[in-house]
Amino acid sequence: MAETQRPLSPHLQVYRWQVQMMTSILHRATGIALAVGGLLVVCGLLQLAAGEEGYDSFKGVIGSPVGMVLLFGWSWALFYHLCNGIRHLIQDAGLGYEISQFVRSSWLSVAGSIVLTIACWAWVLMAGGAA
Amino acid sequence: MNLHVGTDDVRSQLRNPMKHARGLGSAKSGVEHWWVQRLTAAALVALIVVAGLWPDLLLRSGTEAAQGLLDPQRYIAAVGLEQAP
Repeated sequence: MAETQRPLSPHLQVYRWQVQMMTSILHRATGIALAVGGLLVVCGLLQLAAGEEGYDSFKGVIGSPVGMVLLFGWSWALFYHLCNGIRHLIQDAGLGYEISQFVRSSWLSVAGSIVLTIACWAWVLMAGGAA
Repeated sequence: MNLHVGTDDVRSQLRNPMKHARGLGSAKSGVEHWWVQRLTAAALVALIVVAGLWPDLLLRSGTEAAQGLLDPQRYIAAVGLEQAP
């Protein structure tokens, strides 16, 4: 390859960590997680359709401690993807591109997802219908 | 219009703002896909909000719209697991 004097883009780890990186990466990651979670929902519907016995075993799996932790993670993924998705829609409308606004909206979507997740599980546990 | 100045100048004069109105950038396509993504994203936001706040409403409208929504045969047939009679 010919030697050039052009500047190289620095490697990934050179960049100072910023919250926008994390929101961007998490948006992708939660999107993938939700796609997988969609399969679980379909699985639950099929078990529901298959009859009482099948649905009871499905409830047993997702109601187990491991299942509950996974459900908690999935609920957070949903709320995070929802909050950050709304943020993206606002940005698609051409708003919020100042760096300070960008950072603030990043933190807002993170905080919003945590608040919504806690609120959701508080409601579920108080309604007494966990799984 | 002076066409005898330089290629770039000619191009910029011939470039028509109508392409922006039609949504044709240099990629020539993708505007429709972009809008469909935004439309479905907004619809999903609405769906999640309705499902979160009024889950009963969603289930009821679903069962009313499609009788036998909870009929096992529908789903078993839908995934092609139906036994031949």
